[in-house]
Amino acid sequence: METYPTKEVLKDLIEGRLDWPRIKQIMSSPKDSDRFMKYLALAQERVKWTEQILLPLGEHLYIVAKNGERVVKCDCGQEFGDWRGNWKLRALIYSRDTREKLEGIYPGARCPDPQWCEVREFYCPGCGTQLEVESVPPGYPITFDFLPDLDAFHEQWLERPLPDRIEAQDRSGEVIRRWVGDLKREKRVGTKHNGKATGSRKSR
Amino acid sequence: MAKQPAVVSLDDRKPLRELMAESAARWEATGHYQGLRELKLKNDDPLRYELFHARLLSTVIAAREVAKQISSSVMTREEGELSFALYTPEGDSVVFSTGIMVHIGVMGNFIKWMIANGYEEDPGIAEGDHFANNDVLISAVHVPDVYFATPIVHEGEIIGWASGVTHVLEVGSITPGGGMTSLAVERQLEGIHVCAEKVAVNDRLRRDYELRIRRNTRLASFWLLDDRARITGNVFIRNEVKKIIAEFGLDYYKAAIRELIEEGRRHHLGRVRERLIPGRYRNPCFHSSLLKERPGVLPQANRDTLIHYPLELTVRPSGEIVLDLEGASGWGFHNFNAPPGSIYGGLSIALAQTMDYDGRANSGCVLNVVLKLPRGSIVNPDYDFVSTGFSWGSVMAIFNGFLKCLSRGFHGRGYLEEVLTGGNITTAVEWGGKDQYGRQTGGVNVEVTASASGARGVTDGIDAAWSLWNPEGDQGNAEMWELLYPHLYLGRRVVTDSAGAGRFRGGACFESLWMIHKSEFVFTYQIPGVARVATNYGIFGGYGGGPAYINLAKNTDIAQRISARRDIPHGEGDPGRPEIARLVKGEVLRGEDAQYISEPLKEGALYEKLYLPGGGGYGDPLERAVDAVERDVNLHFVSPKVARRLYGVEGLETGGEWKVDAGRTAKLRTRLRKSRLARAVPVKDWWRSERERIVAGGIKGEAAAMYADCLSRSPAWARTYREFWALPAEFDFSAPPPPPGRRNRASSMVPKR
Repeated sequence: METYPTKEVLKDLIEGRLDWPRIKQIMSSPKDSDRFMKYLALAQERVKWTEQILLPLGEHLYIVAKNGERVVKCDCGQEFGDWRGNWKLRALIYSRDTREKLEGIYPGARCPDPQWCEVREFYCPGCGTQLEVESVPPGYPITFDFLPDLDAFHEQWLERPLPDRIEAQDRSGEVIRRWVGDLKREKRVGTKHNGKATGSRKSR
Repeated sequence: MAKQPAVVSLDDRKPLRELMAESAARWEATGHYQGLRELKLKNDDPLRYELFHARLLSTVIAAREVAKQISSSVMTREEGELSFALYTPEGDSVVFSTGIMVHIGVMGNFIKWMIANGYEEDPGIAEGDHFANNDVLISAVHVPDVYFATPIVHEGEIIGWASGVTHVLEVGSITPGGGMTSLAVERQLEGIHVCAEKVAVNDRLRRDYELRIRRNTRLASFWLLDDRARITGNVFIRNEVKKIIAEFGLDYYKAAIRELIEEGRRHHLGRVRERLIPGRYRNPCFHSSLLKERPGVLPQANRDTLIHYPLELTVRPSGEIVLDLEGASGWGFHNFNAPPGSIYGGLSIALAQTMDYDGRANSGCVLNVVLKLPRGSIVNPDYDFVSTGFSWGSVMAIFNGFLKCLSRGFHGRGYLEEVLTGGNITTAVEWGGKDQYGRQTGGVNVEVTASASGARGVTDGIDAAWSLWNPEGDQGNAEMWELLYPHLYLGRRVVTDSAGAGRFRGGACFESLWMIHKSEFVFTYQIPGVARVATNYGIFGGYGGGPAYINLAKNTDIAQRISARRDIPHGEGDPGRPEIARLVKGEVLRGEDAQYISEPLKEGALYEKLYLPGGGGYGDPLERAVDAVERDVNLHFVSPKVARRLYGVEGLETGGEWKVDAGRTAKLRTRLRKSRLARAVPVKDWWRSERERIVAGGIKGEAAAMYADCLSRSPAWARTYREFWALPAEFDFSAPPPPPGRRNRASSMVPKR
């Protein structure tokens, strides 16, 4: 028997086409236990690529299975690497870290103090979509918003185990270490050629 | 209905302390509340069990409605700042009413505190007694929320407790109002503490207690009427419970209230597995305390502080949730300190709104949640005299972030209608002086009970409604506030461009513009609002709401303008050209932060309170439906300027109506998207330059002080921080030393449980 909301109604819900009384009706009703599968099917229909979606991670981001790995992918096709590495580290960033830049969002008296707060916008390099925004003090590490335990979820909660088990361990440190390695290499080269380190503050 | 035979043998004739210890031991041994592996009553006769639950639930809801009619405070009667609940003899909640549900678990801990501290022997617990508490270090959230707990005695045996809370208007603190003033930087400045006292016997308030309230607060009549409202509600529950026992039988009652709690626990775990995803969720949150060189501040508090709440949730495969605040700022000489009891309250209400709103919302729902609150931090202070007057500030900051964390889970499961990003962090105005009737008085206006919610995954947030602590709160009628205080409303309206932008925007907040009238002597004190920082509550590309502030005008020509029937301000309007500056002459202070402390005001002064921030947005604003932007502009919820800049929507006003230009909008959106790609840099490049900035000492002031404090307090957080920026282990920030008096030792005021 088809559960409610049906796949068609769910599509309208996700796309913001339902009015409040119908949203409220869905909220007040017992949840449809097959929601996740209907949702996955809709997401898979929405994207142009063929990799299997394992979990939607945002409005445009998905964790997908690809060649025995699990990677974060935008619906435009842009990939952000292993799901345990914090996709933001492979995004584009625009940091509103001056009063002038902050006033683009919060004008006049509503502007945060850039010594207390900056607003970081993370864009997809492929399509320019604004994927996340952080409002944090200057010098704050980039937040790893969500690291799902995919195997526990699929195996223990959905009872649909994924073909390979991959431990959900934060691997963003590896990305940073690679950057540090690159930095050291460049410094060595820079010292050799120029006698001083390289590095710029393009974003400021 | 005939009395039923006993179904569970629980010897309640034991002392309450023994019952409490046994309950804890059974939980430890079995992982089930009271060791209940089976829900026997539910399974044997589900209809009877449901009927029993419905009777209890309707009792506490009715108690709240009855109590409202006894109080005469706008907060209690109109805003709905009250709540009632029924507890087991050991202090576990069974059912609770709507209203300020945040207190339900906290009131239970107040009952447990009395039991643990030998109240059965001294001062004794008997039918007709009522015990009061607002002491946060016992179990409360802040001083103005006063709890009354009333034992329910049946044939000589304590078979439960009724407990109610209302938020009173004045508490006799260092400055007039509800004890949330930023000048109360130590506990002793917060106002009257009623410390688990027996304040009523035979259902009558003690005369000496009444006298103490009358002589030590500035608006005692409302406090004392609220006391009577709580007694009325509790007595109502007590009487109804006795009728229910007569109908269902005592043994059934005793067994069923415990089954309901175990069922609440199971229900909660079921909801976690139904709606979330196991894994780790993070959402750091921030607040600000501005006390440096403010008038009236004690020397030890003379500093501004950026406060850090590094919220991390872990949802384990078992369904257990761990809420960890490792790395949080240390406690301070300000009123944001939030002891564990208040965090427990925030947890209860956040869960009650998102997952445990039906079925069996009770103590069982939080049994499988673990709180990790570092000792000595702002969420677990180790200073005996710490101020907790606005613990709410911290609780709201943390639990709006908590909502956002849960929302990532809801979204991943496809339950987008349950997504609720963080909303408003409320603030309010306290005042004192002479009222319009010539009396020396004071109070607080908490119309912000209805402020702004975050966006959902399928629709916008709620405008000028919702607050974390009272989801169905009301602003109270302006006319009722005008009767009470010398503040005439010139306007109360939605603040343009206040909502966090997004595909679905956050709720827009509101503002009130008051004119001081018939008084020559009014002080106003801000309950500290979010200043200098934007909230971190937007999700998936949506923005958080911006900082709060006020506009103020003194010595104005408003009286002459009214007499001459000229235009007067009713709201801020365009924040670039606010009405208060455009339409009156006088001394105008624009955009003073939301922690401003005014000099005395008098007749004709204007005070404009903007209850920012608006709720957090959901999704990329460039993807918002253009007709929704058009509607917002025509309602003045969004200005044409913001429609263009943030939403990429072009339009034109014709015939009094703003119409979208679809062609120009499409082009503008394409251009804005391209401009993002042009101005942005890879995160790797940004990381390098930011790292250089940090190493070179480019992080300064309060941000540097925050990092220095958190790095020194938490080796684990320090490791995470230094690893992200690839900094050496010895790296530290150069910052002024933390406030004097910080130390690590066990508090002498909180007894061992």
